Amino acid sequence: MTNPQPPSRELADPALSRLYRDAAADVPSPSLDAAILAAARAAVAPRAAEKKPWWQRLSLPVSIAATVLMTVTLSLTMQQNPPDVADIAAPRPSPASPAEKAKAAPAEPPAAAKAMREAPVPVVQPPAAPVLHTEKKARSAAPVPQARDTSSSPAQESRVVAPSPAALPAVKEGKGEMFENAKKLESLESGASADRAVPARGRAAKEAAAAPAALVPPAGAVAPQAQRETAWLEEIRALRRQGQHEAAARRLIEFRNAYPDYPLPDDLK
Amino acid sequence: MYADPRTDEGLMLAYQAGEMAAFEALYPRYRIRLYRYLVHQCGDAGLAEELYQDIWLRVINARADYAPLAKFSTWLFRIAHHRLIDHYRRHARDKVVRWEDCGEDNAIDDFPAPAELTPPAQLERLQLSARIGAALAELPEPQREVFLMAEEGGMTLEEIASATGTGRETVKSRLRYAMSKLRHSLKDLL
Repeated sequence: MTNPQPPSRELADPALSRLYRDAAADVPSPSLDAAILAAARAAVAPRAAEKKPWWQRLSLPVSIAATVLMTVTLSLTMQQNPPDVADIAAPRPSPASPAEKAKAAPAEPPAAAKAMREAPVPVVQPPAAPVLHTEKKARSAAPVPQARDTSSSPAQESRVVAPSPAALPAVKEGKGEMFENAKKLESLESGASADRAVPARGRAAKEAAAAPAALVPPAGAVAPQAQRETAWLEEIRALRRQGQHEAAARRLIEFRNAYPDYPLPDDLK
Repeated sequence: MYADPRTDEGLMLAYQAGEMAAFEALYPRYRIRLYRYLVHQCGDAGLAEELYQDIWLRVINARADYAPLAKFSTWLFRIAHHRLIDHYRRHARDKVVRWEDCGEDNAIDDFPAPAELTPPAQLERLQLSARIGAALAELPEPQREVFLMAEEGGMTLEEIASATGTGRETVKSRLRYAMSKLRHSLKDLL
C-alpha cells in the first residue's frame, strides 16, 4: 500500500496527521467490498458466460435458410406447374359455349352433338301433359339442347337427344361439314318418332313420352333405326360423290364404331 | 498475505488487460482511504457508501481508457472529486455555492470553533473520531478536500492540483488554512 506522505515539508504536521489517523475508524462494509469486486470481476469475465446456446445462436441463419428454401421451392413449383389463368379468369361455360366446343373439335363428325352432350342437363319434372306439350316445355326450359350422340351404341341411343335450334346456328358457323351433318340429323330427328324427339336434357320427358300408352305418339312418328343407318350411309355416299373421301372415310369409321354389327353395303366396304 | 510489488499504475494496466488479480491487489490499497475521504467530505456514512461504490464502478468502466499519465491516486481522487461535485449540484446547491465562492483569505479567527469541543470532559478517546469529524465538517469544502487528499491520498500539491483542477499555489493555500483551522479546533488534543 502506498504510504500517505505529507504534501510538503513546510506544511507537514505529524501530530495532526497522527491524531487524524488515530481517530479514523470508518471502513467500507464487507458487502460493499464484495459488490465492487464482483463488478470488477464481471467486467473482465470472458464472454463465454454470455454465450447463448447453439440453437439460439443459429436461429437467425436457420430462419433465413428456411425462408430462402421455401421461396425457391415455391418458385420452381410455379414454374413447373403454372396456374391456368385462363380457367381462373374465364367464366364458366355459358349455355352457348357448346357451339364453340363444337368448333374446337371439328374433326369429330358429331362434334356438335358431342359438345352438347357435355352441357348441363337440368332436371325436368315428368309431365302430366301429352308428350308434344312436354317436349315444347322442355325445349323452352332448356337453353342448350343436346344433339344426338351418333358415336354411342344403339343400346345407348335412348339417351340421345336432338340438338336445339339455338345450338345449330353456332354449328353452322363452323365447318360446312359439321353443318351438313347437323342439318341431316335435325331433319332426321324432326321426322322421327316421339322417343327420338325427346327434348334436350329431358330424360324424364323422354321417359314420360315412352311410358304410358296414352302418351305414346303415333307409330308413324317413330323413326326406325334402319332409317337412321340408311341416312348415315347415304351421307357417306354423298361425301364420296362430292370428292370428300377423307371425310367420308371418317364418317364411315364413326358409323362402324356406332353400329359395329351392321352389315355394310358392298359399295362402302 | 502476498503483497503485489507492482505499482498502482502497473496494477491498473494489468486489470485493463483483463487480469482480475491485479484489481484485487489494487483495491485494498485505496479502499479505506477513499472511503474516509468520502465520509468526511459528505458527512453521511450511507451517502458515502453510495458514492464510494459509484466511484469504483466508474473506475471499472473507465479501465479501457485509462492511461498512466499521472499517479493512479490522482486519477482515482479526481474521479471522486467530480463525483462529489455532481452530487452537490444535484442535491445541495448551497454546498456548490460554498465550494465555488470560497475565498482563501478567511481568517482563522473568524471561524468559530464548535461549542462541543471546548469542554475537556469531552476529550475522551471514544469521542476522538467525532471530534475529528466535526472539525473537518467545519472546514470549507475545498480546504477539507485538499486536507483529505493529502492525508488519505498521500498526494503532493501538484497531484492535488491536478485532481481538483486548480493551481498548485491554490492547493497550498487551502491546505495551509485547513491545517491551521484543524489545529485550532483540535488544539486541546494535540
